[in-house]
Amino acid sequence: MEIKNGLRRAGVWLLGLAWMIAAGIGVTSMFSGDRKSQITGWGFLLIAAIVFILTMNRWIKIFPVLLAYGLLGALLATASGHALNRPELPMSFAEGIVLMLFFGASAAISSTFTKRRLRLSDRIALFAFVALLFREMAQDRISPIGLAAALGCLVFAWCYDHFSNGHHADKVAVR
Amino acid sequence: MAANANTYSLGGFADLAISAYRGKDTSLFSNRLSSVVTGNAVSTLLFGNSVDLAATTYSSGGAYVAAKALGAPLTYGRRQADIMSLNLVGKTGSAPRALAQSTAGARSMIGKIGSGLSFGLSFLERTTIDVAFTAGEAVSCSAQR
Repeated sequence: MEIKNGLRRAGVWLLGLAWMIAAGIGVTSMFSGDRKSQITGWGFLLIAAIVFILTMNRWIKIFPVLLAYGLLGALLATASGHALNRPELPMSFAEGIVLMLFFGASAAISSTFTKRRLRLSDRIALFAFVALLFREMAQDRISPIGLAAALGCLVFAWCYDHFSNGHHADKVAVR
Repeated sequence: MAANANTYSLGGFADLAISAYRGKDTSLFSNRLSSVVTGNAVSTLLFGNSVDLAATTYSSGGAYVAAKALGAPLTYGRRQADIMSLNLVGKTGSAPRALAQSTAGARSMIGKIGSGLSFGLSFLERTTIDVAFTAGEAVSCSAQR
């Protein structure tokens, strides 16, 4: 049983890596000038988006963990003054602070999603959050406006759930 | 170690696969923004920019580490590895002690952060991925020396 569980968890991480690569191929192909590559990129992005939406109830449980890991990474990057594992890419103190605030707030808000059933607004917000984050990643920049827009999606979903009438009725543990 | 850290990370691995597919160098998952999530935090915690520290660590016990660590991150369903969380619960053996000791501090620190944030197992699993990449990097560096 223990071995089975271990293999299952390892398999889930490998599938996550495969999704990452597929989405990465899609995004990088989108930004290339070649028409054929862009069509291929759309194909990869479509597959990645379908998997993303269909498996949302599962990966939402580890999503805050990945963002919290981002907070740790931002802390290390700020302390070292360059991107994690990339000494040739300098990072200013201000950029480090922006990243820490972004990943800290995102992890805190998204952790509330794991304690309740996901609504349609949550799903749309999560999709928009990841799409905006990928857009920033593809352009290789740390834009406070872009990151704030992504964070705003999560804040909107949290506020919508918190202040809507059916808030207490939907407080169902998904674990 | 520091020089190769990017290659031995989740983001570096993904970028390598994307670059291989597209035939162009890609740094989508290892740029300044994405590397904080997909980078190897364990390697950074252990070695940072200090190439000298890494060289000292792995030149002094390199052969031993290479021999013992090779099985450590890959061992599964046994009770002799200290690195992977996939092992059976029980008394551990002495095989991968060298590498385990070098990663103990980082694991302890990250474990505390994870527990503090109540993320538990998933945080440990994410850390384990970085530990496995670091172990692979250590083996690779030792073999080259």
